[in-house]
Amino acid sequence: MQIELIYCDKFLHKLKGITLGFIFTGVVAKIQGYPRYLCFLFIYMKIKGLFKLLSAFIISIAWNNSAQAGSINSGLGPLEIRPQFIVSQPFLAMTPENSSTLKGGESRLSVGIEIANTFVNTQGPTEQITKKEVARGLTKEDFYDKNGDAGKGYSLYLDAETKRKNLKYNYGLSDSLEFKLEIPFLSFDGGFMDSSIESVHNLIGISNFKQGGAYRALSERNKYDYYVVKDGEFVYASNQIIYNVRGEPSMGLKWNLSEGGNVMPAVTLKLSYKFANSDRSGEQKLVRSGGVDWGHYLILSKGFDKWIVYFGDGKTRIGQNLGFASSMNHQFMSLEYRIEESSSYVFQTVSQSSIFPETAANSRSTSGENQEQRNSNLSVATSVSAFGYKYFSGPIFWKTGFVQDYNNFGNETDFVLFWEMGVHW
Amino acid sequence: MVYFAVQYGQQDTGSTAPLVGQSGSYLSTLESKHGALKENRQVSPKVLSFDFYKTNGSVASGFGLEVHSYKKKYTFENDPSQVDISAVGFLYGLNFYYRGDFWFPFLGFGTGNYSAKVKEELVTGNSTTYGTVFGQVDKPFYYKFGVRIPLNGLGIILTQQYISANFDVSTENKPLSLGGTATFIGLYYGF
Repeated sequence: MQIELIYCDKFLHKLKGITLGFIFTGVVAKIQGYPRYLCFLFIYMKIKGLFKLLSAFIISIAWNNSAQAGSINSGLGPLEIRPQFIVSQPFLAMTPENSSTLKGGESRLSVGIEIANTFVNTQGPTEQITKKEVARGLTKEDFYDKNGDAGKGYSLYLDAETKRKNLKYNYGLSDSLEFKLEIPFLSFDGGFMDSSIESVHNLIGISNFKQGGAYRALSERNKYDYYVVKDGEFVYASNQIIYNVRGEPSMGLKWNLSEGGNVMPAVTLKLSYKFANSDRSGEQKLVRSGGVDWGHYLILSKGFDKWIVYFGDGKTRIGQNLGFASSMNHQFMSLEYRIEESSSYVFQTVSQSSIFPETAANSRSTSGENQEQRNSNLSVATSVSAFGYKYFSGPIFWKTGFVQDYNNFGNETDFVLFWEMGVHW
Repeated sequence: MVYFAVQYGQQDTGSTAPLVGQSGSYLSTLESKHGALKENRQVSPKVLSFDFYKTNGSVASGFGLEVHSYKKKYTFENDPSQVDISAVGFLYGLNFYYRGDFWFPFLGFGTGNYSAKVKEELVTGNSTTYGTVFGQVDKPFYYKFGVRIPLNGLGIILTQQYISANFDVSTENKPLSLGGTATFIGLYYGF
C-alpha cells in the first residue's frame, strides 16, 4: 500500500475542564495500484488530564470512485459561504447552495474554515479613535461626536479576524430531499491579514488614511478590538481574544422541486433553522444570539454547456435580534465554469441587507459631515464578490476561495479566505 | 462561445424605461428649492461586459455580466448648491441571439445591483447643509436589444438598453433614478 496524502483536522471545545471534539482524518492511498480513499472520524474526550478516546472509527470505507454531482442544469454548485461580518456571526444567515441534492441514502461530511478580516472605524474621519485611544482602552465617550454628544444610531470600531470553523453533515433523505446539520466553532482575534490588505491598498492607490482604506493606518496591525455602540451605549465592548467557542447549531432541508430541462431551469427550495442556546454568559454572548432563527432560499440554475448559472433569493428571520435587524434579505448570482467533470471555477456575487436597522439619525448637517452621515451607510444593503475552486476526487471533495467586498460601506467584511474539505459516500 | 466587450455611450437618467421604469423625484424636489438644474440628466457610462452562450442551429441562448459606471455633478440656477452622484451597476441576465450571416441581433433581460453615493452641498440663504448618502439598489431590472457585427474575432456591438433602478436618497426620502434609457457602442472580442 502506498500512502499518497493524509489530512487531519480537529474541532475541540473546552467546557469546565472537559474537552470534547472531533478529529477528522482523510487518507488517499494506492492499494495494488488502485486509488483508495479512507476517512476516519474520531470522537475525542479529555477529562482533567485523563486522555480518553471514546469512539473511533465511525467511518472507514474505501471507494474506487464515486459519481460526481451534476446534471445539465447543475454542476458542483455555488460557493457555500455565509456573510462573515463579525456583528452578524451570532445569527443564522442563508448561504448559496447547489440546486441539486444528494441522492437518497448518500451522505457528505465536511470540515471547513472561513477567515474574515474586518476593519471599520466610524470615528476615523475625525481621528477620535487612533492607536493611542485603543491602547488606553476605549470608552463610550470616544464614540460621541466632536461636540461631546452621544449621537443616535450606530458607531463602530471593529478590528478583528473571525475564524468560523464548521462541521457539516448532509444526508439524502430521498433523491430530491436533503437534510443538513451544521455546528460552528468561532474564534475572534487580531489575525494576520492586516499588513497584506494595507499593502494591496497601497499597490492600487487606495490610502489607508482615508475612507477608501477604512482609516486602517490610524490603528495597529493584527490587533483585536470589537466595539459596537448604539445611541451612545455599548452593545459589544471586547478586546479579549476568543478561541473555538461553540456557536448555535443549525439544520436545514433542501428540496429540489425540478431538475429543469433544455429550456426550463432547475428549481430548489432551501429552508434553514438555527437552534437557540440561551447560555450567553461571558464570551458566548459574542457568538450566540440565544434565539431561534430561520430562513429560506429559492434557488434557480441553468446550464449552458460548460457554464452553469445559479440565482437565489432568500430571507433570514432573526428571532432574538439583540437590537439589530429582525431580518436579512439575501440574493446571489453564481457562475460556474466546469473545467472538467470533477472540477470547477466559480465566480459569485452576493447581496444582503444590513444587520444594522435604519435609525432616526438625521443625514444632513450644517457643520460638515457629522457622525450620523458617516454612519448612515451602515444600514444600507451591501454586496460582496467571491471567487473559488471546487474539486472532487472520488469521494473526497475540496473547495477554496476568497471573498472581497466592493462597495466599502462599513457593514461588511474586507476580505475572507475560505476552505472546506470533506467526504461523500 | 465567449464575448468580452467594452462600450461607451449616453444614458438619459431622466427618461423612464418603458414598461418597467419609475421616474425619480429627488432632483425635481431639489429643483423646487434651488432652481432648475443647469445640466441635463444625461450621463456617460462606461460598460464592460462578458457574455457566453450555447448555439442551437441559428439561434443561441446565453448569459451575460455587465459593469456600468458613471459620475455626474449637478448644479442649480438659483444658488451655488451642488450634488455629486456616482454609481456602479453590476448587472447580469439572459441573452438570446440570432446568428445571421453578417450580423447577430440579440435581446436580453436581467437584474443585479447598483451601488451609489450621493454627496450634497445645499445652500439656503446664508446656511449650507451637507449630506452624504450611500446605498444600493438591490433589484434593478433591465432589458436590451442590439446587434453584433463580427469582423473575424473582433467586432462592433450596438446596444439599446432600458434600466429601472431607483435609489432612495434618505436626506429627502425621495427616489433618484440611476437607470433610464441608454445607447451604447463598442468593440467586442469573441472566442
